[in-house]
Formats: sequence, structure tokens, C-alpha cells
Amino acid sequence: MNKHVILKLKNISLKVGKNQNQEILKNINLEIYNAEIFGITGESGSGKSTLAKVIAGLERQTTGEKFIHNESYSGIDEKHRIQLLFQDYSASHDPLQKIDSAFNELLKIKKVNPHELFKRKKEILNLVGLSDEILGYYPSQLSGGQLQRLALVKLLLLNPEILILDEPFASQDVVAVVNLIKILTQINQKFKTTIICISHDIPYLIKFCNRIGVMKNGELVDTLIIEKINNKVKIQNYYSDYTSFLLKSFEVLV
Amino acid sequence: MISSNFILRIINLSVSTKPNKLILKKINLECSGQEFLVIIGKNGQGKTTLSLSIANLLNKNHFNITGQILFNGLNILSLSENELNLLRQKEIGYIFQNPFSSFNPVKKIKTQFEELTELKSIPFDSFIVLMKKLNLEDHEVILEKYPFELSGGILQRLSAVRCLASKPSLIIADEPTSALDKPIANQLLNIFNEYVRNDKGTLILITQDISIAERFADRIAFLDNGELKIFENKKSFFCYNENLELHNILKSYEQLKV
Repeated sequence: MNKHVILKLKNISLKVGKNQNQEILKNINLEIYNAEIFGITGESGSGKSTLAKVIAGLERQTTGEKFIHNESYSGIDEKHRIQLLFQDYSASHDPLQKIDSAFNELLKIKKVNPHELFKRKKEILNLVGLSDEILGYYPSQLSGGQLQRLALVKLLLLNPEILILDEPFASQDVVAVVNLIKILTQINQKFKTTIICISHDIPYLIKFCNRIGVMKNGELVDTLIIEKINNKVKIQNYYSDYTSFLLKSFEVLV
Repeated sequence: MISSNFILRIINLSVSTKPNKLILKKINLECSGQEFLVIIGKNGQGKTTLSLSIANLLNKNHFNITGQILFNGLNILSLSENELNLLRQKEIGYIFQNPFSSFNPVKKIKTQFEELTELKSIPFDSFIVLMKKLNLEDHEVILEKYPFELSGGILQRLSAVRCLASKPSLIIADEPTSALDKPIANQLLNIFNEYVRNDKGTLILITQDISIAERFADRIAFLDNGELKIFENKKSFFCYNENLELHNILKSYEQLKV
């Protein structure tokens, strides 16, 4: 793997409440490498979604700095290099617009040449396993799985360098999970997109991530390294009791 | 051990919505006393409709229901509302899929539990014991809250506590761990398992999570497109290879194991 650091978080903290007495994120330090797949896990309320929003610039940290390619950025990255797929992907679609007309609005946001967009659209739809016909539909005519993949297509049309997914496996059946993991792996390989995936299902993350950050009460307590040797998974770097407790609860560790 | 007497028998149950969309097609299923029965299936295959109809909770203005549901020999579908209420109070417990609509929104949790202690003569302490077992350590604070002040995960646990405390002979639990983190989900499943193995209860659990079926079930029912495609004991179920849909699901399930 190319060890160039694409994203760096330095001492990120986020406090809310009357006197900023509630600390949602506590002094997070993290380096994410170019073209890696990084998982973030933890129990409900541990701060994983908030961290994703801070990285995407939808939430401002109270203290600390973030860098993309070594340049500091504060709010949303203006070059659209970071894109976030929300957990509620159905809300990512305009109910009054056909899919294709919503896609064409991207031309205005990012000055993509229409021919290039057309070519890329075909390529990406193919990659996520959807046919062109779907572009003529309204969101209400499509299933949850199709809408999720279309939301993903829309983000990929912007050619992001970092793609963040918030709980993409929530309430999906196992067949859909296997399919989505395949798609994400292909995106990573084909476009060299760096992927940050949030999920409480650790076994799913182990299947396709290079590293997994474990969060507890707003802190990053461990960063696991996942190695695959001869189809056997080796998990390294778990130091805290909490992480081994979590891994055991999923029967990943005995 | 599963005893041979049936606590529940479903005979030719069909359910359709009033403009005639068939949701369940001629379901035949029986459940023995002291059995851990798991019903699995993908989204939208009729799992929740089946479990609601077992407790006769479907609104008859919207659904056509035919067939029989015998609970200890009594046809639930022909009981009056009073008889049903008595049965639901004493014999059949139900844990709903949506924890947010499982409680009375205008009463504190404590008040709702206290009402049950009178109605069903349950010692209040049994609620506390169960809450502690499910990591709700600050029970005094939680009991003073209204449902809207609590998270989905806490409400889901409280909903299970409410049901288990009254010790019904049959519990129907619809996706009871969907909002829970894995460690707590495991604790709840162990409590369900004790309820069946030690307290001689019977449990019907509806889930998408095959690992639950693999770990706890005596028998597994597979619902697909409103039909009961497979109903087997655990061992035969995981070897079953004559249904393509189930084959795909089990294959994906195996692929996702670490």
C-alpha cells in the first residue's frame, strides 16, 4: 500500500452543551493513508457518526486541526474531495426529480464536461450493478437497496478522493451486505478511492478493511490492523480490554 | 427438551390486505411447549404480519384473516376482545419491533411498570432485576423518564423487561435486538434462552440475523414471499439445499463469517 497520508486529524475534540460540558469527541489523532479502506466501529453513542461528520466538514470541531494532503481545511472541502453517504440514503434523493435530472445537476456543482459525465455515469452504474433504465425513474419507484446504490453513484460522479459511509449495512440482509462489500472493494481498486466506513458490525468491517478504529465514549481506543494471509484473517494491535470484549461479543475472538 | 404437546398450532393461515393483496399464504406451523422457535426471512416477506396475527393483533378492518390459530387448543381468531385481553395479560407476551411506539407516551416508565405490578401482581423488584441484567444500571433515573426522553436501545430493553417480568407462557419477540449493541444483544438473548430452558417458557423470535438462529433455535422457519418455505430443526435447516433463496442467504452468511 502507498503510505502517503491523505487525511490527518490532530487533537480533534468536540464539546457540546450549555457550558460545553459534554465531550462527544476527545482528542482524536488519526492518519488515514491514500487508497486504504478504514473502518470505524464502536457502540451506539461512542461518537463514530460525529467523527465522520467532522471529517466531511458537516460538524465543526471545538479544538484541533484537520488536513487533507497536508493542507489544513476547516469546513466542507471546497474541491469536493470528501463525500459522505448518509445512513438515511433515501433522503439523499429529490422525490420530485427523476434520477437522471438530479444527476445532471452535478454538472453545475462541479464543472464536469457532459461527455465525461455520460461516460463516467455508465461506468459507475455498471460497477454497482444497475442498468441505465433506472435513470428514468423517480425515487419512489425504486427499492431501498437501489436507492442506496444510486446515492453512491451520485457521490462517485463527483470523483471524490475520500468516500465516507455511515452505517451502510444497517438493516440490510446478508445477501445485500456481501454485494455492497464487493462494490466498495471494486470502487477502492478501480478509482483508488480512500474509503472510510462506519459500522457497528465488526465482522463485516474485518472482511474488507485494512485498518479499523475502535471508539469508546468519544475516544479512539485502538486501531486494529487487518492482515489476510492465505485467506486467513489476522487481527493485530488490540491493546484495550474494551476492544477484545467487543471482538469476543461478535465471536471474532474466543 | 421439546415436549411433544403443542402450545401453538397455526393451521392454513392466510392473511390479505382488504384490496386483496395476499401477504401470508396458507401457513402451517406448530410450536411445542418449551421451544425456542426462530422465524427468519428477508425484509418484506411477512415475518411481522405472521407474528402479529399469532397474538391476533392485526386490525380486522384492514386485513382478511382465514385459518386457525390454536393456543392450547383455543382458537385465538374466534375469541372476543375481552377474552383476548385476558389471554394477552396472562399467557402471551409480545415484544414489538418498534420500541418507540411500545409505551404510553404520556406516562413515566415507572408509572407504566407500577400499573403492571397491580394488574398482574408482579413484584416491582422483578423489573429492577431484569433492568440490571441488561446494563440499565441507573434504573432510578430511567424509571423517572417519559418514553420520548429515552433512546431506541433503552426502550427496546425496557420493552423486553416489561414482557419478561410478567412471565407469560409464550413470548413473541419481533426483532428484539435490532437497536442493541452486540454485547447487550447477547445478554438479552441469553435471558431469552434461560426463559425457555429454565423457566419452561416458549419463545417465538423473529429476526434477520441468522447467527441467532444458529446459536439458540430448536427449530427454524423460513418465510419467503409470504409462504413458509422451510420448517425444520436446526441441524436439518442448515443442511437444506433445495431452496435457492435460502441457499443464497446461507452462502452469504458463511462468506461474512470471520
